[in-house]
Amino acid sequence: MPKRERAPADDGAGLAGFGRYAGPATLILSSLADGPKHGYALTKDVEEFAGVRLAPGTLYEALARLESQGLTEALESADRRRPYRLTAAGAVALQAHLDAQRRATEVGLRRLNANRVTE
Amino acid sequence: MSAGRPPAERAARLLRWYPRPWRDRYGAEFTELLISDIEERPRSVRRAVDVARGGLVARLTQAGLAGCPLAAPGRAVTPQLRYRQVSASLGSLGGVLAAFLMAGAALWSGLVIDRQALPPLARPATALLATDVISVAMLALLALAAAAALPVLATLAVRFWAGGRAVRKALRRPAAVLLAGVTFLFIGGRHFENGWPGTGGHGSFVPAGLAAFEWATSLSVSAYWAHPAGFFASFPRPEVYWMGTSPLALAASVIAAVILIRRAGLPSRVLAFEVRLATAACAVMPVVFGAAACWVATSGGSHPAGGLPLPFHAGLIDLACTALLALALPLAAQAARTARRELRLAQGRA
Repeated sequence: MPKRERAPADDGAGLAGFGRYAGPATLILSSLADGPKHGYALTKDVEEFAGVRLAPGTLYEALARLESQGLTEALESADRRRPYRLTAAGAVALQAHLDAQRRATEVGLRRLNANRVTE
Repeated sequence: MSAGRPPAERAARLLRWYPRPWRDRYGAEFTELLISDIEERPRSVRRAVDVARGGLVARLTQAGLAGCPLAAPGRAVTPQLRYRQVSASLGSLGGVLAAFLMAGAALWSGLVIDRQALPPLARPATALLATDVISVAMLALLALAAAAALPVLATLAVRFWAGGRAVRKALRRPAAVLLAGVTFLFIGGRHFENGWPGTGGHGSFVPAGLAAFEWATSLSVSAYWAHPAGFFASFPRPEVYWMGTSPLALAASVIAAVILIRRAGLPSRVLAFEVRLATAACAVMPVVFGAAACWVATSGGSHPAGGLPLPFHAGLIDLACTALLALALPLAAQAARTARRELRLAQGRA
């Protein structure tokens, strides 16, 4: 019997309750990890590093959730484009979520490579 | 078409999908994003669908059926905002429960009347069981509704008499509509319950007065609406007026009650109590639906050739009521789930 590998439970509690918004939320937090951005800059940045274009409604649904959970915060702005930044809680949640994803990715890659060698 | 309009105008039209509080908070920045997006991609069905879906979610959130409460820019969501969201969820649950009780009462009345029409040995066992189960469950729901109403009414009375002028102004109109609607329903129900076919023993353990009142207030739930000529010919004129106006009075009362619950500023202990009752109601509602669905699914025998429907035959109106009961279940469950989550977060028990 092959040894079963069990990944540690996802301790990214900050994004655990996001359900279908976890994907957009992770992309937004990852983009904000680079510095504050407004909606359009977020869309372009995510498109550039992830190849995913977040539609406006989806972006603001996720942003509203992140803001209500205290993971991002809106900054004062002179014009109508309000920038958002990552909070300390948001950084912790993103780190935990990405660590969990990395563990899952590593397990998947290792199994794929092991099967290739066997074939 | 709309693709030829200026981006700002198209963005403003798209923004209308969202409710006013959401527009007040995010409207300006969201419009800027939409304008940039429209300038970059003038035609996009995906964007239109995405914005419509987002607007619907925002409206459900406002109704306490999804999502998280809106915070002011740069501010965290406070416990007060979360308690307000709990009130919104409970208000929506109350509205759903009212529709559920109306449909349930109509089904129940029909079953009880049919039971009288057949001698004991000719009564189908499934229908009898369904009648008894629905009777118990409906009584439980009415008791829960009454228990939920008492602390809300007490809080409203305190707010109204001890609150400031602004509080009274916010409560006055919905309170007046609720009072008028309930009074109308009570007087009309008491008057028309005299025609209750169960008078003289309806064979159920539901108190006779309550059964007759339930029947009278749900008279409007009738298949006769689909046959206007038969409708006007079959009922005396005052009853036709009652059947036309009672659902309007009920709807106005429910809307006013929902507004009052949202504006009352219920204390956290009352909210916690109401959430427990809401959870209990959500556990009882499937019992009513299950019994109704069993009866509808097994009712079988229908019209003898050219004659009236046999007793316990489930008609289209019964199917419609059962469908309404089914629709109410996920809505009520979602409202209760949102209320529980927001209450937990407000109390710092995340």
